[in-house]
Amino acid sequence: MFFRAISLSICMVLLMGALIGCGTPASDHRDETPKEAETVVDKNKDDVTITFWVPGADEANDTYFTNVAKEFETLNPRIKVETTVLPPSGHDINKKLATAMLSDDYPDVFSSYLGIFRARSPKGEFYDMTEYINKWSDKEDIFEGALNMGTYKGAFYGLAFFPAPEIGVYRKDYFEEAGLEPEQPPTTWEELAEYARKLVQRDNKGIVTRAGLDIPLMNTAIFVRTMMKQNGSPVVDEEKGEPSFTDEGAVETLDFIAKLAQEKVNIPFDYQKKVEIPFVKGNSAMSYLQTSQIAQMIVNDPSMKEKIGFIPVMERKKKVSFCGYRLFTIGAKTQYPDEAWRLIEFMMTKEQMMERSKQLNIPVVRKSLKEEFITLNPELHKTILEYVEYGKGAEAVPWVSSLTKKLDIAFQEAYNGKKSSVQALKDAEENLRKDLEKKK
Amino acid sequence: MKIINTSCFREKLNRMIVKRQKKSIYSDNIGYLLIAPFYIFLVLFILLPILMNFFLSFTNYDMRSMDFIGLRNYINLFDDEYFLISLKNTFVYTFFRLLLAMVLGLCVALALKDKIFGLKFYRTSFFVPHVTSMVAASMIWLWMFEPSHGIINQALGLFGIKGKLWLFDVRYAMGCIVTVSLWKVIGYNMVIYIAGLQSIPNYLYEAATIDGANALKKFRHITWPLLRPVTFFLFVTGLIECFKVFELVMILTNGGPMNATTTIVHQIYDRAFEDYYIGYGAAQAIVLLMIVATITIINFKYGNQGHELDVG
Amino acid sequence: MKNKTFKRMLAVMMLVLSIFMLFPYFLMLITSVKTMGDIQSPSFTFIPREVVFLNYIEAMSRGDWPRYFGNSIYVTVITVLASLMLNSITGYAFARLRFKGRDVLFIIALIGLMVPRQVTMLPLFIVLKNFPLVGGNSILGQGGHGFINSYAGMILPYVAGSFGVFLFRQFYLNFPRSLDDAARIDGLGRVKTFIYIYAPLSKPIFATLAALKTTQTWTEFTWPLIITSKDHMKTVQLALTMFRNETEIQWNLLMAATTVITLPLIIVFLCAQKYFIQGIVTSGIKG
Repeated sequence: MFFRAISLSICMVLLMGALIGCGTPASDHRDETPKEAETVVDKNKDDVTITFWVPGADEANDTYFTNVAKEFETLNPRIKVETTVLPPSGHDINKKLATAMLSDDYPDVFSSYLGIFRARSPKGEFYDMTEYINKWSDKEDIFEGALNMGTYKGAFYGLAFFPAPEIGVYRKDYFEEAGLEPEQPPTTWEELAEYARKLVQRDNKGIVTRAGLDIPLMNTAIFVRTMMKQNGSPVVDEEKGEPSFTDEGAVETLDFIAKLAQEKVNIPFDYQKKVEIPFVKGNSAMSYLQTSQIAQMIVNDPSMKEKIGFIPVMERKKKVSFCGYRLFTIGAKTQYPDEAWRLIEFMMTKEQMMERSKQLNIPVVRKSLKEEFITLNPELHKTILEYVEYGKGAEAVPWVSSLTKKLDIAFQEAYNGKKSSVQALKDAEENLRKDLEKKK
Repeated sequence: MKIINTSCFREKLNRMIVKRQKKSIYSDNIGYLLIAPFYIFLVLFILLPILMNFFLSFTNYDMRSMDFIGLRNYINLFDDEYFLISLKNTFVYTFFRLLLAMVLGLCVALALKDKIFGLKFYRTSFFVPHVTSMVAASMIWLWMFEPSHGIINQALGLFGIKGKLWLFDVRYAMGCIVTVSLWKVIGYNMVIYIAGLQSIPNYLYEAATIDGANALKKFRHITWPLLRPVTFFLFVTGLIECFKVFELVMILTNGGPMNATTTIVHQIYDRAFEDYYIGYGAAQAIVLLMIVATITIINFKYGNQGHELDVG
Repeated sequence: MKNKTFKRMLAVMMLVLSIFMLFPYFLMLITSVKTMGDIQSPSFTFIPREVVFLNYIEAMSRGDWPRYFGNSIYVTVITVLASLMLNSITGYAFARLRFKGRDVLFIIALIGLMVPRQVTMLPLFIVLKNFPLVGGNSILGQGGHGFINSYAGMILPYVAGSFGVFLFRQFYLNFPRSLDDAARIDGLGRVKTFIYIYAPLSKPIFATLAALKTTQTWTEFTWPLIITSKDHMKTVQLALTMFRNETEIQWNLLMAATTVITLPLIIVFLCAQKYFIQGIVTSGIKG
């Protein structure tokens, strides 16, 4: 009996081994290539495979990036590009990068969100491209704001190619309904609040059915930070690498937003989850949206083209807008920096950039393409470029995500009346400092 | 009116459901061999990573550098306001979700045990939430909870009740999460309870019927005691699952508003994958393991597993 | 008479509850045939303004869905079969055999359930990457890619499943002792007792665990995401991310695809259900 048991167990293990063994894909081309190439001294004579990771979006985006790699391959016959379309969520991308780092599988070229770039460039995950960029003849043609996005401590670790500003939009038809002049968007905070109060609609039980202004109740931080900066607060002292949002400007800002939200001029929503943005559904009169969202609204309902107007960049003490970016980066451990840079260079050519504007509505970052970009859609694109020009992205510190979380909670505390704005911000800053202290 | 002879019925049952002899019949060393294949997989792919995690909890690993810092992560934990809130939230969630899921799961299983009209349809519809991808399902729930035009508030409006802010309200957010997770888990508890109910021999019920026991009595003296192993199983696994709640929180509220719904694993995720305090996240995980393991071991020691009962 | 009325009432009650349970799913179905413009209109409508079944075709023609389905089916079938075999025999050993340290070993097995996946993700990744002698690794686990980017990498961590062992153990605890006595009289050893008596009698548990394990493996998202980075290795859950981007989601396509990928699970459940109805012990021992 004992022998039978042994043989049974062994059989089971073997069977499982066999089943799983079959599962290993037979043709795993990439795994081997770089390893072999590693030993070859003269790389120029050999074919090279570089990996290219790009966050997925809609079909047009995915096809563009897959095809562009093929185009690049035909121009550079000895370089093969293996494109991987990542899931779009920042959380998922972070997980992929973390494990890629551990397994030396980091992509050679990676199109990064600004937030991910800010958090990861201090960790030494990206290749220092300063030399390439300084030698690059087109460097002068790139918007300075965009170029600066890719720096960390004076060196270039990324090259911004995709500005994603949050643009102020309003509904002209709703303005008219509320007796406001449809061609005159608000230009100051006071006007923004006043218009919001006039535009809001509630049902007989007091539930807001049409928001005057979209103020998110969750993930409010981007909204809050941008307005704090408009009000002269630094939010983060980037040189010292310390939080700095307890000044008068910051407190006044938080107070302003929380009070406005308490007046119930908005429909609660979560800014990060793109599930239910009241403006997109036609349930709000004013909002801040990304260009792709505006484009999608017009696709869904062509009459929106006439109905949506644009709010110019606000100014209180400073003229600031929020503008996210995507950047091309090179993995720090890459064996083929030259080839990786060549791919980036190809992506940054005027032709490809214009192609992206036309196909994917991605704003340009080259001064020489400004005019051509504007002619594609004068009203919208002029506004976009203004937002890009005054755009500030995520702060250049590795702890951006902590900052975002603390500011969110500060807003929620002020909004729910649990703490005064001053106290909420003080506690948030103290909490953040304590966290940073612990990490050391 | 029928008079039930209770004592006779009890006696008869007692003869059928006997206490097992504590003493084992004989020792089976072949058991080691039978569990070996399973244990190989367990050790390699589950216990080993946990052990590595245990090691990480004494370091300040942040994906770049790693220094041994002793117990500092654990000491810092008790000073971490968010972690303490998450502990409290997790306990609240676990209490309500575990209790309700077990009671409702059992009720549904009892109702759907015997043939009634449309049985297959009912069973399937209770199970469908469990198999639906959470990404899509939670989006639907987000729509339903939406404060201004969401279906739940509109339905309440029909009865003249003022709508709530649900996920955006500190008072209701946790309740919403418990509701969604109940929606998802009832079918699962139902399936396991049905399997348990099926394993109770019918002749016990027949004998009880002959003695004139009513449904309640049958439940108390036959169903409930013989379902003990299943109940115990659902309690222990449910408890562990509840303590690990994460995905729902992440999708529905991301821990908000004001940390009202942040849970232990949500904090771990935040720390380890958003802030890169991997060592710190590991320490939180070890504390979680300690809590759950303690409760589980107490359960095994003092809880009634029901395996001292024997039928037939 | 009374019984019949009761059953009718019960059926009605269950019908109402079923409708509640199915309601979100029903909304999903409605959304899957709407246009985006319809979905993004100010208020929700139950009846689509325009029914677009084309959404299903559009959703399924993006990417290589046959391949994704193939991957998912392959991974799920092997995981479920392997873990059913392992779990049943292990559960039997823990429930019915007496050996030293049995209960301690069992509790240790349960530890596997107690640590959230999110925590063990990175260490597990390292284990799979440095697994000796696979994927070009040396005996010390260096040099190659181990189980990264392979089906085995998706399957191995899910094979053990302390959950299944626990489930089997609890059910076998409830089996009549007379089964063992009968087997002993017939001269069957422990293993044979399991194969010829226990296993055939535990179809309902096998069916239950098969349904649950299939669901778990099929709906797994994070682990396949981490362990694979190639399009031809994608599972259906990973493929779902095609319908969303950073700023918006194509609801109709996402819901259509979700409906399609949920269907296999519902079919598995319906098949497994047939076995739930059979009694375990009654058929085997008394009479």
